[in-house]
Amino acid sequence: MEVIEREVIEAHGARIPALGFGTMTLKDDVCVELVEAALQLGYRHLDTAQMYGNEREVGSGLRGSGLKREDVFLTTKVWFNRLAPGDLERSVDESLEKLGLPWVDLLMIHWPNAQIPLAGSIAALCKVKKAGLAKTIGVANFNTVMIDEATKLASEPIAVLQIEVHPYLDQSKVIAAARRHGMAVVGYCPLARDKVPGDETLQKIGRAHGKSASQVALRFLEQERIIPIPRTSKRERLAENLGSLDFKLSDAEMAEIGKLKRPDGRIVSPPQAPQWD
Amino acid sequence: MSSIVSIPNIEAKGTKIPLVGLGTWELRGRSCARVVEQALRLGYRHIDTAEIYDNEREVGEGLHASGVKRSEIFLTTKVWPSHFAPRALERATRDSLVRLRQSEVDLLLLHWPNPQIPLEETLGGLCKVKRDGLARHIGVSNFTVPMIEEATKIATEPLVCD
Repeated sequence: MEVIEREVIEAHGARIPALGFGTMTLKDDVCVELVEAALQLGYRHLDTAQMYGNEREVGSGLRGSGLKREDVFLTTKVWFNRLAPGDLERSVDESLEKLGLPWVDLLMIHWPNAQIPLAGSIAALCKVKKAGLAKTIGVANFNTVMIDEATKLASEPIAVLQIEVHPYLDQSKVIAAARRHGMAVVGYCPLARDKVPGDETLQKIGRAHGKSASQVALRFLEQERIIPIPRTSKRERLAENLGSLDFKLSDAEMAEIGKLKRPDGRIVSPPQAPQWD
Repeated sequence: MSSIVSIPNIEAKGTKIPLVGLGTWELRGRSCARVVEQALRLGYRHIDTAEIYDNEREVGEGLHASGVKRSEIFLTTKVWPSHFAPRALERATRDSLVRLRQSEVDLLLLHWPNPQIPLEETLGGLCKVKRDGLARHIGVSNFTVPMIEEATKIATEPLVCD
C-alpha cells in the first residue's frame, strides 16, 4: 500500500513503518491468519515478544504472506527475567528459532528489571546487534532516568522506546527523554483497551473526516510521530486501523484531542513496572 | 557397554551422524550432566550443545560419567555469531573444548549467520579450525538456502548443515 510506503519514522538508521500490528494475546492459527491478512492488507510492521508465546505463529504468518523478509519490519522482545548476559542471548536464540528467521529488525528489553544490573543487559543487547541478529535495539517501559542510563551505557545506538501511549495518558516527559536521544517512540495500547471507540470527542472529530474514533486516535499519535501498534483479532479492524494513515487532523483538532489526558489514564502497570515519570 | 536401542546413522560428506540426537538447550547445571549421562546409557549417541547454552561443562561431565567410549559418541557444538571474526572463532572453539574436556568435537557449527562479518572470513576461520583438528566436521546452522549455497561455494572444506 502506497500510504505505508511513504510513512516511515527514522531513528539511528532504522526505518520503521509508521503503523504496526501488535500481536499480544493472538495465539495458534488465528495468529498465523491475522498476521498473514495484515501483511496482505498493507501492514509492514509486526510486533511480537517472547512472552506472547506466538513467535512461531508470527513467523509462519510472515512466510505465508509471500512478502520478502526485507520488506517487513519485525520486532521481538526479551522478557525481564532473562536480561542477564548469556540469558539474554539464549532468549534471542530461542526467539529466532521460533520465528524461523536469521535476524529481527528490532530487539527490545520488554521491561526493566531492578534485580539485574542494567550495564550487563545493555552490553548483551549491544552484542546481539553486533552479531547481526538484530538490526536495531531498543527498550520498552523504561522511565526517563533509565533511558538516560541505558543510552550512556550502550556502545550501539538505542534507537527505539516502546511505551503505553493513547490520548488519555500524558507521556510527554518520557517521550521528550527518548527524543533527546534521537529515539523513535512506539506506542502500545493506542486505543486504550477499547475506551477509544466510544469516546464522544474522538467520534465527533471523526465525523468531520468520515473516520471512526479509533482512526482519529491512531492518526493523533501518527501526527505526533508516535508509531501505534494496535492489536486486534478481527480482520475488519485491521483495515480500519490502516485507514488512519490517509487523512490529516488540523492543529485545532490535535489540540482538542490533547486535552483528553487525565491523571488516571494509565492502563498497564504490572508489578515489574518502574517508577513512572 | 551395550545399548538398549541401536540408532541408525545419516551419512553426509563422509560423516555418519546418529539419526536421533539429544538437544541440550534447555538443560543446565547438575540436571544437564545427569540427563546427558542417562541418555548415553539409554543408547543415545549424538549430543548437541552450543557455546550459548551455557552447559558445555555439564555436557562434558555427563559424557565422561556415562562410561561410553568417546569414539562412539557424536558431539556437536556451535559458535555464537559474536565470535565469527577468524581469531575469535578459534578462541571460542578452544574455550568450548576446554569446557567440554575434549580435544575435538565431531561437528562444529556456526550457530546463526552474522551479516556483519564477511562470510569468507568466518568460513576461513572455520576451515582452519577443522584443519587444526579441533573439529572433525564443520557446518552451518540457521542459514537460509541462498546463504548455504554461498557458504558451500566459499568453503575449502566440506560443510554439513543443521
